[in-house]
Amino acid sequence: MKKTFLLIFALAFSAFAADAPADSSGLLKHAYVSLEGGALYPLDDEQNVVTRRNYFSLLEFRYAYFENISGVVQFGYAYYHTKGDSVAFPGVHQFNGRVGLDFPLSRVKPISIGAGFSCDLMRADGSDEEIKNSTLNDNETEFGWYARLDLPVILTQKYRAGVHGYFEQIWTEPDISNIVWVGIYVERKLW
Amino acid sequence: MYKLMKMIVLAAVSCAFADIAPETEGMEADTRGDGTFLMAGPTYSYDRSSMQGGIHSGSEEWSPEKLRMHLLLNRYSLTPSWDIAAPAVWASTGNEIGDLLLYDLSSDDREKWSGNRTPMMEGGFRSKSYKGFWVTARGIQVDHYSQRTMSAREKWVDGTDYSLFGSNLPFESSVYAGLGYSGHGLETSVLTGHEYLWVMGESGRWIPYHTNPRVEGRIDYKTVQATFSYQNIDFENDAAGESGTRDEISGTVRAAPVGPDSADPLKIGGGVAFRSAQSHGTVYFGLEDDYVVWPFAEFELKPTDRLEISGFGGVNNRDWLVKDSVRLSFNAPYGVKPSVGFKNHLGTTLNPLGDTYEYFDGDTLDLTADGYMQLHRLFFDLRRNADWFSMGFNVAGWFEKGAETFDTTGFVTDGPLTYRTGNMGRIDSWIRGLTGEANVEIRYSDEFSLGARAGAERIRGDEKRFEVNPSEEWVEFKAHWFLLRHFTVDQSLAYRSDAKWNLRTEDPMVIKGDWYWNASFSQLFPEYGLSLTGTILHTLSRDAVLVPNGGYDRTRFYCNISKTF
Repeated sequence: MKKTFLLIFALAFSAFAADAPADSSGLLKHAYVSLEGGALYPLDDEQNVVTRRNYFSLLEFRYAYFENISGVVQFGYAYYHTKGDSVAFPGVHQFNGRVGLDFPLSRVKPISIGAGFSCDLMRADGSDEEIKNSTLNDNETEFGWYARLDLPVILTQKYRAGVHGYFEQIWTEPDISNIVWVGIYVERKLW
Repeated sequence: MYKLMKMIVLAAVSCAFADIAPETEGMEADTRGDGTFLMAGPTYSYDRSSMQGGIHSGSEEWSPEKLRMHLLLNRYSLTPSWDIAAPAVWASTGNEIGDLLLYDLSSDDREKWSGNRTPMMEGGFRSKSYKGFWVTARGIQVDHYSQRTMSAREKWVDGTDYSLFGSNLPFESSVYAGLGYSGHGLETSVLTGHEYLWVMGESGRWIPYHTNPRVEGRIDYKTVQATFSYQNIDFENDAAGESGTRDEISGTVRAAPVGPDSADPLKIGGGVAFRSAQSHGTVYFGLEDDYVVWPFAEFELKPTDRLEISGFGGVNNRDWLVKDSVRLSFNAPYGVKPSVGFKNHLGTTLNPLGDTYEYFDGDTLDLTADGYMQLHRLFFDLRRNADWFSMGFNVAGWFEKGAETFDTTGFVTDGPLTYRTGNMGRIDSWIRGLTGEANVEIRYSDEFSLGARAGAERIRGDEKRFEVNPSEEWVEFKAHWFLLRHFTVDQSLAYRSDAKWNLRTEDPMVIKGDWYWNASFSQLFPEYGLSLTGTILHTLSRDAVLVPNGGYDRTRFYCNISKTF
């Protein structure tokens, strides 16, 4: 499994480097993949234009980065329902990616905290007529950062399940967007 | 092989005073803090380092080393870079931060917003060699800075469909591919590509510059470097119903100054550069006689360990140019290395290969000036290097006569933009400058280093005729962490004092001094030759226009993934 994954990992970046050498720092000594789903809540003024029924799903690859520090790579999809009385279209699609690190808290095992960079891509969901006056009628991208708390509830040798809480800031104008994400995840150890 | 790669990666990330990498090669004016660096967009900047002397921009100067840069009108630009990378595959993407995203849904927030933010993207690869042969391809598009001038530029190209992707009218949109051979002491390549650029004329207009194809061949064999390029460039101004094309052939053959014996105190080199431009229809730039041939010579003389003399010069039927420097080093106690030196730069032009005319609504702007310029710079330099710290101090006095400037005769406004008419001229009086700069760096193994630089300059002369009054004070603090052998953090906090553009607008345009904070975070996987980098630029500074007719310099974030082979 590890070799297969390493092969995919290497192929993704190179058609020429399939042979991964041994490492000395624990890099990729373990790797995990997880699925996560939950809800996300914009804070600030955005609450006036989207409902509370916003959901997300995520695919995460977590790997041993250095000793007990994990590296995290995520890809996700989210949907915001707009409030119909003020917005011409029914919703907004969001695709997001994150790259970061998770640090285990040795005193409150197995809880971890993490942080990293986020990138959100948004596009309005609606007919051409409904979205024509929005900047979201084509893809708009913005970057930001996140911090997260990992609370595993079920731990077995192969699987882990628990709750993730995220605080994310996206560097939008006219104000920064603050978003809270809460999700339930199931993670499987690859190697 | 992997050990070697690891060493290279470690060496690269351990260099404390390395600047934070800009969005793409050629945009270094974004991240430098050692002088005056004002960017209008990826294809135009006023770049003057603290050690240069004179009042001109560094990109206005020709030198033998610039044989592989783009020549845009009369300035050299590394943007877009066609430099061949080491074997790797890489991708970058980023954005000027401040898009609305969900705030788009609120009309109140939309009204408060200051305009669309635009992205950048780059992707490329160079394969490993197979029997010495390799292939490469690269695409670069930087949409940053583009929004402010879009309405004026849309008129030239009748819309926003003037780039490889999207509709932001990026200043730089370039793609190329090619193959090469490395072996037997020979490095050679042939690249062909397609570019959409916007080039700022001396008039201040942004002129669309569509090159298809651009073909470039490069040869490096021992000390010989040769470059040949062919470009078919389309010009258009749809609002005026004008169009034209230019076929341009250019190149340089250079023997770098290395003697037959490396211990030889005298090393001589030289070469010839040439351009030929055949224009049809309406083309906004012109080259006198439609061609230029520029023979040049270079030398390095080191009669003793302490004395170094070097220089280059060229001459043709229109121009001459000489640049030389002398440096004498001394022995001193406590490892201090003092030196004194003298630099001269004389010539009828800064760039003998540049275009000589710009055409503007039936008027001709002459980009050459009669007479010659002379710049002399005397400096005293002190360096001290130890295991854990280094420091330096440089003080210089310079004086210049015949500095190139622009004699503006009139202004034309186009929405928020101002264009000018006139001709290149000279300031035929002496300009005097006094520059001092000190730097210190402290290192703790290769895991942490801290550096600081501060400098000041005072310039006196006919200041109202300077294109730019450079910043007179600058300071920079840098820090570099290399953690767990897999993670680096670099940051730079820099201040630049006011600069002023005198000749491009009716009233001089003051570029207010500001603080710039840049930071870069990299996850390194040296075992796999892989790195992930996120960089944020210009976080503390105001969104400001740094060059008349330029775009807004905004905070931006970009990330890069690279895998070396």
